[in-house]
Amino acid sequence: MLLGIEGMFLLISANDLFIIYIAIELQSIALYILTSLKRYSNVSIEAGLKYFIYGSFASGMLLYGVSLVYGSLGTTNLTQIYILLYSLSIDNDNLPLSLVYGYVLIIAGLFFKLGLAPFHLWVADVYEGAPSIITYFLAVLPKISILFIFYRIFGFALNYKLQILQYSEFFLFLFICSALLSIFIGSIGAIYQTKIKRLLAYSAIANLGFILLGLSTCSFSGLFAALYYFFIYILALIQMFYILIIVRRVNSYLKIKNLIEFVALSHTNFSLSFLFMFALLSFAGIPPLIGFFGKLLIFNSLIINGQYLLAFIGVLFSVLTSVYYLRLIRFLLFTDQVKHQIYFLVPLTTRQAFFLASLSVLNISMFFFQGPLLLFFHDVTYLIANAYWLKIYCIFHF
Amino acid sequence: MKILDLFMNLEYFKEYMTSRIMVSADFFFVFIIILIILMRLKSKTLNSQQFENMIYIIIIGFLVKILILYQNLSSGFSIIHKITFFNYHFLYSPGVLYLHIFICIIAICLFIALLDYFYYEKFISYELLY
Repeated sequence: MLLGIEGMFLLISANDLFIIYIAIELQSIALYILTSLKRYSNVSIEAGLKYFIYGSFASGMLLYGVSLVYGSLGTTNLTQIYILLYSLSIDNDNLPLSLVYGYVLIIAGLFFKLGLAPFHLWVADVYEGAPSIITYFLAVLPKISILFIFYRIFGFALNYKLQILQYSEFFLFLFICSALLSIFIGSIGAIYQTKIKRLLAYSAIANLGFILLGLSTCSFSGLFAALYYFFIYILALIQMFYILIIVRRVNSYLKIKNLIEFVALSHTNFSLSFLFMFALLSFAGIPPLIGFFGKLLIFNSLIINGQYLLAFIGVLFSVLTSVYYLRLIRFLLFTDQVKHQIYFLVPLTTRQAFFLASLSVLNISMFFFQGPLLLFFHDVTYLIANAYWLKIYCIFHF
Repeated sequence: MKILDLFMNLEYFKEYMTSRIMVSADFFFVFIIILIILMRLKSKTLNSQQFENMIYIIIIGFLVKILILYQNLSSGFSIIHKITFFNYHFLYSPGVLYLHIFICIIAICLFIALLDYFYYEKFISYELLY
């Protein structure tokens, strides 16, 4: 787990395509092993093997893409690649074909690692098969580092300060298509799920689609909204997974897996089911919870940038995604006991109660104290967007 | 000569050292992994108390890293200076430092959950045994 986190630290600081590849591999290999941690569980082994095979294929595509970029430009250093692309854009309106292929393969590799459509097939199986704590790890941490590195590699298309207009159009089209497909698959796929981890997997696909949609606006407001949405999504996810991890049945080896089993939660620990409901409502984007502002900012950035159709589709699917969260809330609070259910759950310790209460208070209070948070994210967005611009500026002027 | 210049200019040296410490904080985790392997080799099986202690050490490690990063950010960490040192393979901009802090905070949450995960695994095994 520590090696995986170390890989993430290396990845977000990397400035070279080969270092990026090595860091992604360091992170992925740790994740493959962690997924099949339960050696005696067939499901866990199957998930690990699936993840390994799909992941190796994606790494191969990424490496092939890197080699094509190196073959076209003669460097793997991202700063030098930006400078070369700028000089290239002065004379040529189109990118060389090998470079386009290279970047498309890099996109495929990174989208696979993120679990974005059409490279999402592994997500539900791996989430379901991995031990809960590893699913938590998989769902939260790798996405931060890979999204950031994706933004850095495709700065010429996504970063409003570095954008090269004639080169960015094709890539933005790809990103928007993938985002819409992810939202569609995530929303429709989750409706039919009966297991909580599979539902969270499809929810992750849909939420990443929303984030990519925000990034694809190629503006300050879009990046700001995507960052804010991502932060809120992770906060709700931490709360949800923590509850999933601590909710166990006494006298049974089984943990809560199916949605119907959540009926037991409200009958044995009402406060816990209430906190779980908060996380779900935040996911659904219902006020007065922080998730509402995340979605609001994404749609706002789309409207500001004149992408009304995308905003409309986003709102439509946002309503659809709230259906499966509300369905889970129905199981949590509004369903009567079923006879064959076991209703005795393990009681919470003081530490767990404190940690959960803090997360819930954070979730609600941030809605009412938006000012400082928005200001902070404004600064962070500025810093992230400007990092490369400043660096290239320095190279040209010193 | 370059090293001499570095020592002559104290501000420069301070920035150089803080960035080095920041990188070495990453390698602190590698040190913990070695420690875990050594503990495992010594006692063959880790008892739950040793495991908990190890997780607490890791959480403290992340907190130390957050402090170092925060110190870097508050002392006016600037990419223009860092360009001299990390201009090729790595980039440490203030935005990246914020992301490091963010990952550290989430990792702490993860390890707190890990503590509970093993607490329950232990608890349930106990229930089954008796």
